[in-house]
Amino acid sequence: MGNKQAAFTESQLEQYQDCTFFTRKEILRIFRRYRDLDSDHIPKSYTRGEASRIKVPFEYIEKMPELKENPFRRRICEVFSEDGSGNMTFDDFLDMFSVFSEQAPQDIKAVYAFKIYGETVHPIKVNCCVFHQILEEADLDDDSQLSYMEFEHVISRAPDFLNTFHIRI
Amino acid sequence: MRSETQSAEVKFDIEVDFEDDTGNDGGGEGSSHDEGSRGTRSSGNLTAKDRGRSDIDDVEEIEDEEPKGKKKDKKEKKKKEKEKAKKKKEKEKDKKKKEKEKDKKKKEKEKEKKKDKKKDKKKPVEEEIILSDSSDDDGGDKDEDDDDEDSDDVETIEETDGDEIPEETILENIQRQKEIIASIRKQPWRMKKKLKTLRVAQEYLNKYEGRLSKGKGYKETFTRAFKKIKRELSNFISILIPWETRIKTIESYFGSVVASYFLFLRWLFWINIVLSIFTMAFVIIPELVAGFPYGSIPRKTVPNDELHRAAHIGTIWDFGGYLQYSVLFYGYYGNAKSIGSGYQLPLAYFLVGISTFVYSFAVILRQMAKNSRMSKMSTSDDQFQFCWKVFCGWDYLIGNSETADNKVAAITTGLREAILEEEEKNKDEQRYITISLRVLANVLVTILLAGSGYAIQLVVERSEQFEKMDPSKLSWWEQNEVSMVVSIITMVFPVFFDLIGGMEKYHPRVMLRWSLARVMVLNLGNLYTLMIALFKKVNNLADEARKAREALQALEAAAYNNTLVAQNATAASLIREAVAEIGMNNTAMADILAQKAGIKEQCWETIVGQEMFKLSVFDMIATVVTTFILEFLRGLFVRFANYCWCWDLETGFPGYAEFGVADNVLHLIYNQGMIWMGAFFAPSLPALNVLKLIGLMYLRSWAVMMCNIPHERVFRASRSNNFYLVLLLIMLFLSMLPTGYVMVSIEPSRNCGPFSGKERMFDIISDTVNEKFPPWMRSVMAYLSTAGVMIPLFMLLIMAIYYLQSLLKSYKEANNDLRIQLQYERTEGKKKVYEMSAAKNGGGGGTTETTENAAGATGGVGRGRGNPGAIPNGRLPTGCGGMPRFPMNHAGPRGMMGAMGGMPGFGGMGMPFQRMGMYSPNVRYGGYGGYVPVRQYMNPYDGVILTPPMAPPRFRRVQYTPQPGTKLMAVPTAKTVGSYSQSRRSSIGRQSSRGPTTVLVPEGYQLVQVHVDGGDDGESVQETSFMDGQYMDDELGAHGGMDA
Repeated sequence: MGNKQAAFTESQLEQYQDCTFFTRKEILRIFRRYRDLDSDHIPKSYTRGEASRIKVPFEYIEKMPELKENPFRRRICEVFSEDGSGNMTFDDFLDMFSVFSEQAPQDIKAVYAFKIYGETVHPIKVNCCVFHQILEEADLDDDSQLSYMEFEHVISRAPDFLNTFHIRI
Repeated sequence: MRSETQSAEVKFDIEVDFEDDTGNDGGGEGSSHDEGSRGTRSSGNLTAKDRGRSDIDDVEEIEDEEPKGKKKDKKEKKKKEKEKAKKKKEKEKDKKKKEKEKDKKKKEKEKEKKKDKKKDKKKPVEEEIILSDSSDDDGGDKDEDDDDEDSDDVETIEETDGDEIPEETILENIQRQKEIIASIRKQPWRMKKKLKTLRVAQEYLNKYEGRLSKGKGYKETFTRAFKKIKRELSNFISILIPWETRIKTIESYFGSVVASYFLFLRWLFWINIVLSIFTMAFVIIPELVAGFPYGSIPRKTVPNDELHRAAHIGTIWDFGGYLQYSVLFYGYYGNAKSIGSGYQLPLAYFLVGISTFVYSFAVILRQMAKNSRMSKMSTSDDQFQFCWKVFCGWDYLIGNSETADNKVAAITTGLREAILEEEEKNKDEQRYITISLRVLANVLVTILLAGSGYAIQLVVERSEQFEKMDPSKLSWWEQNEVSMVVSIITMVFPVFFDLIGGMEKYHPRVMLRWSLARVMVLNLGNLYTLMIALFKKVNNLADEARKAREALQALEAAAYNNTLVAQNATAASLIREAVAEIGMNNTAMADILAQKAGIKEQCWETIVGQEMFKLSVFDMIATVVTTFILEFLRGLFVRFANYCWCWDLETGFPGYAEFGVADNVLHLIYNQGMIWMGAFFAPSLPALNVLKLIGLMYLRSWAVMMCNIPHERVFRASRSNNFYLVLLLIMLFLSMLPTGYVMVSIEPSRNCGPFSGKERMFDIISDTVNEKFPPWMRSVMAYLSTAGVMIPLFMLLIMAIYYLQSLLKSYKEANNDLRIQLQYERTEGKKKVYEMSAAKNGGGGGTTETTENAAGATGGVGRGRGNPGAIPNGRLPTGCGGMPRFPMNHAGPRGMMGAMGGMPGFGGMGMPFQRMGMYSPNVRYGGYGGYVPVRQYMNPYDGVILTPPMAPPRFRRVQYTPQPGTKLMAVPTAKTVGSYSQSRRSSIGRQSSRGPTTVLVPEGYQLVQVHVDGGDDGESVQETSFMDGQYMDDELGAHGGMDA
C-alpha cells in the first residue's frame, strides 16, 4: 500500500481510467491482485511498458478465487489474452475485469460472452434436446447456427445476463 | 441472414477505418512526442522477425472473422479505393485542401506502403497466414513501430499545412476525438489498441486545442478541468462505498441472488442517509441552534408530574420522558413564525416532510427506469427459456466450490424441468381437488389477515386504557403490547402462509409469488390497522381535550360575567366541577387540566411518532432474536447434535436455515414503509433507520455466512428485475396516504408542534403564499386551485394516461406482429431451403452457408487449439447423475472427437467442421436412404457435427480452385462444410481468393460450389458444381475405425 502510487505514473492511470470502467483505486487494487498471482516475477513498478510485455501464465490466473470455480475460466482467459494462450499481461487482465465489471454496458458484455461461449463445452452436458430447443428459439434465419446478431438478440432480453455475467473484484 | 452479415461487416468496417484514421492522426504529432512514445512502446517485444508485418494484420485479424464471400468483395473494394486514391493524390497539389481529405490521403499512403510490403513478401498465402497467426503477440508491438515510421513522412506534409486548417475543421476533429475518448471504454478491443487510440486522440487534442481562438480555448480548458474534477470526485466516492468486500464475499458464496438482498439494503441505506441529511440540515439543527432552548416554554419542558420518572430507563425505553420532549418528535418544535435570523421553521418542516416523499419517489422511479433500460424489453414470456438457461445460467460471481456444485445442479434441474414442462405442457389432472384446495387456502389466508387486523385493533384500544392508568403499575408486557404484537405477527404469520401455500400445489415460482403477495398484504394491513387505530385514539383524545377546553372557556366566561376575579385555587375547583358537570369521567385528564389551570392536551402527533419509533426498535430486536434462535442456535444444534442423533439432522428435518431472499427483502420494504409513515411525526426516524440498516447489514451478513445455506427455491428477483422496486413503490405510495391525510384534513394539536394554532397543517403554505407573494400571484394561485382549473387539468391527465396506455398497447401489438412475421419467415425459409436441396440433391439435405456467418458464430474457433476432446469438461457436475437419459450417447462421439482433434493432420485446425448443424429429422438422407436424425450425433457445445456412427467417417482430399462470387460448401448428409486441411480457420477467407487449395471432405458429403447472387434479398443459389477427389484411407482412415 505504501508504494502504491509508484506502480503506475499518473498519466498511465488516467489512460487506464479512460479505457476501462474502473476508478483509480480499483485499478490499483486489480494491480495488487495481479501482482499477488506471481509476486516473484512481477515487478512493483509498471511504468515502463511492462503492462503489455510481462505475462502471467494461465495456471496462476486460474487459481484466483474469482475464477477458480468458473467452468469457463480457460476459455475466458483465452479470449482475453492477446495471443489466445490464456497467459495474460496486465493489460489483458485489466481488460478482462473491465468487461466483467458492473459498469460495463450490455453490448460489450454480449460481444465477449459470444466469444467465450463460441467454443466451449458447457459444464452441464447439454443434450441434443436442449440444443434443439435453443436453435428453435434463437436461430432466426434458420441456418442452424447462432450468429452474433442472434446471440445478442437473445442475450439482450435475458433478465439476468447483466447480473450474472459479472465478476466483482 | 444477408442483412445480418452485412451489418456485422459494416461494423467491422467502421472499426478498421477508425483505427487507420487515428493511427494516421497520431502520425501528425510533434516529433518530440514520437520519440517519447516510441521509447515506451518499443521497450516491448522487439524480437518479432517479420518487420514487414504492419497494421494491416490487425485489420485482417478482424476480417478473419468475417464471411469468406464478403471478404472477397471487400478486398476488391479496397483495391479500387487504392487506385482511386492514387489519382486523387495527383490531383491534390493545391494547398487549400481540407483536413478530411488529408486524412484520407494519409491513409492511402500508408495503405500503399503496406501493399508494397505485402508484395515484397510474395509468399504463398497460407504461409503468410500461419505466420501472422503465430506472431500475433509479437506483431502487435511491431505494428506500432511501423506506424511511427509511416507517420514520420506524413508528418512533414501536415506541418506545412497546419496553419491553414480552418478552425471549424479543427473543432470538428477535436469533437470527434473527444467522442472517441469518451466511447473508447465501450469498444471491445484489446487494451493495447485502446491505449494506442487514446494516446493518439489525446495528443491530437493537446496539439490543436492550443491553436483555437481564445474564447474556445478557455472553454476547452474549462471543460477539461471540469472533467478532471469529476473524475477525482468519482475516485473519491468509490472509496466511500461501504461493505464492498463484504458483499463480494457473500456473492462468491451464495451467488448473485442472495447478494441482491444486500445490494438492495445498501441502496436503501443511501436513501435513508439522504433523507436524514434533509431533516438534519433543515429541521433538527435549526431548531437546536436557533429555536427556544429546552425548558423555556411548556411544550419543551417535561411536565412536573412526569419529572420524577422522566429519566427512568423504562420511560426512556418507551421514548417518553426526556426523549418525548426533545427534537426527536414533532411536539418539541415551536410554532414561531421565524427563528434566529428569519428562518421559517414551520414552513421548512412542512416542506421537508413533503420532499421526503418526493425524493423517495424520484429515486425509486429513476432506479426502475435505469433497470428497465438495462434489460431492454425483457419479455416476460419464456420465449428464450432455453437460451437463457444455457447462456445466462452460470453465475460468474460464484467462487465457492460447494456453491458451484449447487449451481450446476440447479441449472441441470432447471433444464430438466423445462424439458419436462415442454413435453407435458397441457396436462391437467385432478383439477377439482386442486381448485378446491386453492379456494380453501385463500379463505384461510383471509381469515389470518382479518385476525391480525383485529388483534392489532384490539391492542391499540387496550393501550388507550393503559395510558389512562398509572404507568408505574403496568407490567412490561402491557406497556409494550402494541409493538410486541405487531412484531410477532410480522414474524410468525409468513410461516403460516408458507404452510398454506404448500397445499395449493402451484409451481414453486408461482407459489413464491403468492406467498410474497400475501406477506406484503399482511405487512401493509398491519401498518394500516395500526395507523387507523392510532388515529382513532387520537380522535378520542382530541374529543376529550376539546370538551375540557370548552368547559374551561365556559367557566371563564361565567367568571368574567360575574365580575369575580377568579383566584387560582377556586378556579381549580370550579374547573373540576365544570368538567364533572359536562360528564367527563376521565378524572386524570381533569386533574391535569386543573393542575395546570390551563389547557393541556396530549400531543397526538408525538404519540404517533413514538409508536413508530417503538415499532421500529422492536422490529430490530425481534429480528436479532429470531436470527439468533432460528438460525444460529439451530445451526449449532444441527451441527453438533448430528453426531448423536437417530436421523440425519443436516439433510433431514431441522436442517440448516436457508437465506430467504424474498422474505428478507419484504422485511426491508416493510421497515422502510414504517419509516416513511412516521418520518413526518418523528423527524429523526430516518436517522434511526440508518443505524438500523447498518445493524441489519452486519447481522445479516454474519448470519448468512455463519449459519445459512443457499436458498433452494428458484427466484430471480435480482437487480435488473424491478420486482422489489415495484413493491417498494407501492409501499411508498400507501405509506404516504396517512401523512397526506393528516396534512390536509386533521387539525394539528393546539399546543405543540410547528403547526399549532393553525386549522390545518397545509395552511402554512397558503399563509406563506398570502404573505410573501405579490398580490397578482396570489390571485393566480387562488384561481389555479379552483375547480375550474383543477377539473380540466384532471381530465387532461386522464386523457394523457389513456393515450399513453393505448400507445403502449399498440406497441405491444406491433411487437407481437413482428414476432409472428419472424416466425413465418423462418418457416418459409425452411421450406425454401428444403425444396431447393431436394431439387438439387434428390432427397439430400439442405444447404447451409457455413462460413457465411458473420463473426463466425464460434468466434474463437480459429484460435485453433485443435483439441475438442480436451475442452474443459473435466469437472462434470454431480447433479448430472439425475439427468434423464436421452437416446443420445455422448461417450462415442466425444471420444471420437478427441481422437480426431489429436490427429496430426488436424493439429492446427481447430474444429474440423465448425458448425453446430441442426437438422430436421424429416429430411431424408441421400446417402443412407432413411431418416437419420443427425442431431442425435452431435454435441452442440463442441460446435461440431459428428457423422452418424453407422458410417465411419473417411475423408477425401479435394483440390479446389475458388471462383469469384462463389462459396464452398459440403452438402448432403449433414449440413457441414468441408474443412481445410493445411491452415487454420482464420485463413479460410483469404484462401478462397487465391490459388488452389486442398479441402478435406468426409465421406458421404459432397463439396458444392455455390454461386451467390448478392443483390437479392436472400441468397439464391444459382448453380452448384460437384467436385471429386480420392479417398485417403491411409491417412485419415484411422479415426474412422474409432467409432466402429
